[in-house]
Amino acid sequence: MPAQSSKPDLLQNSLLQNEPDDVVVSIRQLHVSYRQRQVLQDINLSLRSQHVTALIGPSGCGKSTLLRCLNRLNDLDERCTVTGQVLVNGRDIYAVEEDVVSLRREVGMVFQRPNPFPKSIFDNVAYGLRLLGVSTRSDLQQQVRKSLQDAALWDEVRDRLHSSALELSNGQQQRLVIARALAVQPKILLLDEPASNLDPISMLKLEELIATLKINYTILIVTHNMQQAARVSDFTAFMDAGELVEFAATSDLFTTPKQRRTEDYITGRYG
Amino acid sequence: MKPAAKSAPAQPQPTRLPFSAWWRSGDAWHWYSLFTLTVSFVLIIALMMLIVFASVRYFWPQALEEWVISSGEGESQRLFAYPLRTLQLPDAAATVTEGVPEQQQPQWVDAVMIAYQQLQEQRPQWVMRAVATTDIVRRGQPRSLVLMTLVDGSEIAGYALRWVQQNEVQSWLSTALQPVAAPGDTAMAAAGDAVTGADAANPDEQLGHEPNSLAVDIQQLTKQLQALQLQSDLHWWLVMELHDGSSLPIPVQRVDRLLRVNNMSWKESLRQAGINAWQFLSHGPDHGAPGILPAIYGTLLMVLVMSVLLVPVAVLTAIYLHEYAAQNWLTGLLRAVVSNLAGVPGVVYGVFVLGVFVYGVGGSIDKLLFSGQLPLPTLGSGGLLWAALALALLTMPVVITATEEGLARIPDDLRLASLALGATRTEMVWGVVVVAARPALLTGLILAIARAAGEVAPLLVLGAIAYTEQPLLDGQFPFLHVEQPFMHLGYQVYDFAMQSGHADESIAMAYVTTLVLVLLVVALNLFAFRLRASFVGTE
Ligand SMILES: Nc1ncnc2c1ncn2[C@@H]1O[C@H](COP(=O)(O)OP(=O)(O)OP(=O)(O)O)[C@@H](O)[C@H]1O
Ligand SMILES: [Mg+2]
Repeated sequence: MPAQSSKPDLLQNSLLQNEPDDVVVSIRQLHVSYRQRQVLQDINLSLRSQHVTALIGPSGCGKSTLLRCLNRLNDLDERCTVTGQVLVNGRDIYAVEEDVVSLRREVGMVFQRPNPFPKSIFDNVAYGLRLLGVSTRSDLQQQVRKSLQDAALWDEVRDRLHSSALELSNGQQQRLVIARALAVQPKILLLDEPASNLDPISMLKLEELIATLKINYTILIVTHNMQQAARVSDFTAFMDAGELVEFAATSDLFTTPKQRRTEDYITGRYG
Repeated sequence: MKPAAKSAPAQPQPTRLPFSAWWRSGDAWHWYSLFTLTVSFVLIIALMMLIVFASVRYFWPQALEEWVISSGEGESQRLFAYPLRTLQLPDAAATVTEGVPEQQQPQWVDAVMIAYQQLQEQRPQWVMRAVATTDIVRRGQPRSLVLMTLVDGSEIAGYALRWVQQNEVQSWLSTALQPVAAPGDTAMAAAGDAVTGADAANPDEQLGHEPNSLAVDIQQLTKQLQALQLQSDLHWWLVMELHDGSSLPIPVQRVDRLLRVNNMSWKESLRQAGINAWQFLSHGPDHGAPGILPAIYGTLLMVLVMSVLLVPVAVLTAIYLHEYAAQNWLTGLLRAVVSNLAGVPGVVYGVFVLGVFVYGVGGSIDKLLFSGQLPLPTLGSGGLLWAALALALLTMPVVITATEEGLARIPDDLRLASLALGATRTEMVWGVVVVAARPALLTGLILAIARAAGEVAPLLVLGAIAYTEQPLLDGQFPFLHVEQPFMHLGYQVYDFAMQSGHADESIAMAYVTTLVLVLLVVALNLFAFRLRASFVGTE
């Protein structure tokens, strides 16, 4: 496993050098450790507004951890220490004065495992809306409906909005949690393997959805599916063992990877 | 394995393992665990059977016997009696005739303990006595013997003789013919007023309505009775022949039921047992016959007040321990302390509440708020509130532990999902975690109720009493009187079993009360299970 040697290269290749002005999220020298164990080392990454960035890498390399740093979900875990900077719209979100609750409304997240609340389908989607103070029945109904339509779930659940969300299939649950995240209209969407439980058709629908969402949102998507990454994303970041190995425009990264490790991974020679 | 076993030469039967091999295979544990399961199951079934059997026997109408016993000097006496149990008495005759007992050992004779009807203050009552078997001249179960239950619950055994009208009774009363119907007779008192007050309306013109003879069939007899009860303008009486041969007229309006107890079909007996059970359940002990309705109320209300005191505190504690507290050694210690509190005996909580809350807090409140009533205590003595508080303390560890386990089972993903949608920690806890933990909370509450409903020790010092006329619930503000002493099923069991004089009946009543308590707990649990199922359904 080559160690830190790739770092100078990375900096040269990355977009950091001449950072464009539509950068919404910029991660600088981010280190994360659980107890004494380093999980992320010196991550530098920028997400551009209205673009899709794909995050690929072997299991356990720290993708989900990185995502959790962007909405400060790591705060809950006392064992987790984060150093470095994460700027969202120019604000340092780890600054003391940062309002975590409004940050999390701004940065929506879809989890790796579908995790609907033990409530009805309707209440799941309305949960975030109610927190925002939306309380009139018609507003709720209208926004829930729109979110479910966006997540391509509406047609399947329109007749049973008030039955338990746990009765849905795994793939339906996955789309439900996407709808739940969309309902609060975040500006940045973090999708952690949103297609892992979906059939090819739903997966294509989801990819179409991402393409349309791109117009309004900044999206970071974790995926193990190279084709999917190639199809939906504008930029791709490859991570391995807690490091960001390579970050480039998707077409470049998949056709002409600069790093040996990247090439091995995308051609399936990893490990 | 098989070929090896077959080729083993020492094995006469290839399918059977030698004992040592079987033992080593571990199959013995299978049988051992099955055995222990069976034993505990059989024990539980046996206990329930005992309770149910004793209860059914208590309600099942018993044969009413007619006894003739010799009362010395060739005289004999007739009794209407229930035989209760056999026992042995010192033989009075033996000692008297021989003067000085030759043996150190007294002589014993077989005897039967009976409950028989005796006139006390002109009114038949059940009394107990032992009768030596040698004194029994005759005993039998005459099929026409009637057991009459009056509306106040008291019973009169005898033979139904005939229907009579008020004016007849009046003349009867005036002639000194009456053996029992003296003015002091309670059964007669009301009737006597009626007789003297309103003169009978044309007694001679009974147009066809007059039942000249008593029906032989008990159902017919009951029909006659009901028809006569409906004739509100005419006052009919039923004349009963009592054990001493005297006649007692009873106004039909005072009669609740007539039974030929020795002449009932199986179905009638069952029906009767049901009626008896219902009487027992739906009345208080003031009814003349035993009843446990106030104890059922008391138990339910206490469990309710306990739950109201218990649930908020236990849930908040569990939430704090699991959701807010840093998971360090101190939290671990607190948790261990809480679960070990479950092992403290109930009476300790009783004494604690008595000392700290009843005398301390209750006494101070009395001084401040109810000083008008002093020296009579209001909250400064045992009552429903304090008993419920002791039970809440007693069951708190169970609920805290169960709730915390429920909280621990909720995946962290749900918490994160809620936070990621912009929930504050409080919104997350109350909107998602507690909602998802409701089934666990209810499980804890079920356990707590089951434990609390059967716990008697703390109640002994905190105001449970065998009998009170003060209702806990009534129409007077504040409707639920939590400061009052109360009746409780568990305490009734204790009281019936330990303290009452009438051993036979009260032991049987202890069983019945136990059955009621068990059924009550089962019913409460079923209710909670259904509630829980409705919560689980939304998951
Ligand atoms: N709560 C935690 N406590 C301790 N270690 C953790 C925790 N969460 C993650 N880790 C460690 O951090 C590393 C990265 O985990 P992470 O979940 O980010 O991987 P991932 O890239 O998302 O993998 P996958 O593709 O399998 O989801 C792993 O080695 C994991 O063991
Ligand atoms: Mg992951």
